[in-house]
Amino acid sequence: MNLYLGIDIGSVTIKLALIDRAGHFVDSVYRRTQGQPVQALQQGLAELRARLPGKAAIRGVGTTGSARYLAAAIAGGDVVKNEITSQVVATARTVPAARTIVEIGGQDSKLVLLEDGTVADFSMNTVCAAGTGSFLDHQAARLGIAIEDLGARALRSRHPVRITGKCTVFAESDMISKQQMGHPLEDILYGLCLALARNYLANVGLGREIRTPAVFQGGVAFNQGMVRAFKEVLGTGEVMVPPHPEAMGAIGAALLALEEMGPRTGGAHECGPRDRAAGGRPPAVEARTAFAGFAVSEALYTTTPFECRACPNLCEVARVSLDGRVIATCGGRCDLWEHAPAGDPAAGPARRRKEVPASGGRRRRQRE
Amino acid sequence: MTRRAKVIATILDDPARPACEARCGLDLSSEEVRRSTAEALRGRFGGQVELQYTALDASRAAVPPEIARRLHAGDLVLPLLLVNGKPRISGYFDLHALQEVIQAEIEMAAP
Repeated sequence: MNLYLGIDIGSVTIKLALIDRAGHFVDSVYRRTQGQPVQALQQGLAELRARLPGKAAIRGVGTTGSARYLAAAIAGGDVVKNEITSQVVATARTVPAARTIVEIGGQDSKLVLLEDGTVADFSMNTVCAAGTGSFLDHQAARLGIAIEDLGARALRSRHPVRITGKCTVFAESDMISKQQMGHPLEDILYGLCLALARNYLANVGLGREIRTPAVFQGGVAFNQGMVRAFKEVLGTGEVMVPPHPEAMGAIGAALLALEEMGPRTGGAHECGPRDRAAGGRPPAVEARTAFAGFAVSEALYTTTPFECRACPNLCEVARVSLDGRVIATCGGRCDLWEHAPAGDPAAGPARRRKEVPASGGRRRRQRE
Repeated sequence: MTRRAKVIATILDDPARPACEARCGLDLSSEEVRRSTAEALRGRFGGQVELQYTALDASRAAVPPEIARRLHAGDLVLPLLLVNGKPRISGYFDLHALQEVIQAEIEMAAP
């Protein structure tokens, strides 16, 4: 069985998805990164391998998400794409009639307007944490309920309270105030879902028409309270949640890997970008994948932090090594280091001048 | 070798406006931040991306009429990030978001 792997690794969670040669969904894994992306990727790969049929072979790998270059360096990526591209590809395949993609992840959210399956317009959230999944996480933890239960409890609300959604600080104090006033927790939770939906529309959706059918995806789409809130705020029932809302980015990355690496001798993938670059003639055989194999999940990686001095932010960046060889750098508030070629001692001399070891150059083991 | 299309990232801002006290995101009214942001974009995208900053308190004439209309109507807010003239982030943003939006624009423009 030939499969294509998509990896979507973000700041809060990692999603891995497998599709077959026909582009059909096969399996997926969803885990929290817990601030350790390398370890989370290894665990995700191990979990996926344990569930795979014996004769399965990975023929292509696509990566996306904020740590997509790290994931590609470790797992062996054939295609590395932005989240918006991956989400659009997956949606076009899964929900072809979709006209709007509403995506809310752990730390960012996006709105994509589609026309005939292609992007007509898109926007991203502001830097404010209000309106992201992390805010829901934080509030669930503060209220002592599992994030997985938040949606079901919110659906039991009968008289939702009004929570201000413009700012996380105000929203939290508003919720505390509503608790003190004795409102039932269910009403506060659904009020929070409504606040998040309003915040999204006033922020990411500002000045844009949400056309239906709209597809709601990202980890927050698991939350049925949020689905109901979007329907209520938008005044439409045409808000759909695809079968694997959390994994849409990973599915899109897998589809892009299939397009790039899949068989070219017939069917829908007869002529992909690589073929066009070669003059339109499809090769007779499949391209060889860069997939590093599931053994990656057992490798021992070390991370060495250093301080980047390329700008006043002075971010701590981690250099990831395997057997003494640097294979990737990650972290920081920009992608400066993520694009440094693996193992390239120069990652630019100019760049090297701008780094100093963080915390005395200590080493941390990603995996014991 | 294929020549890549230039991407223009324009930030419209009014440094004098009342701002959120959290001060999250890039403050591009600072010349130092503008310089380091431009350098980060060069490091990431080479010469493909050009960063422009327009302070609206100094020059409203530089704003495209449709964007000015939407700002006036409250459909867009400052600071506003335009990529190739299209509004992408309306409100505060950080360097990572700026890079992601530009990367998305580049990928979508690719054949």
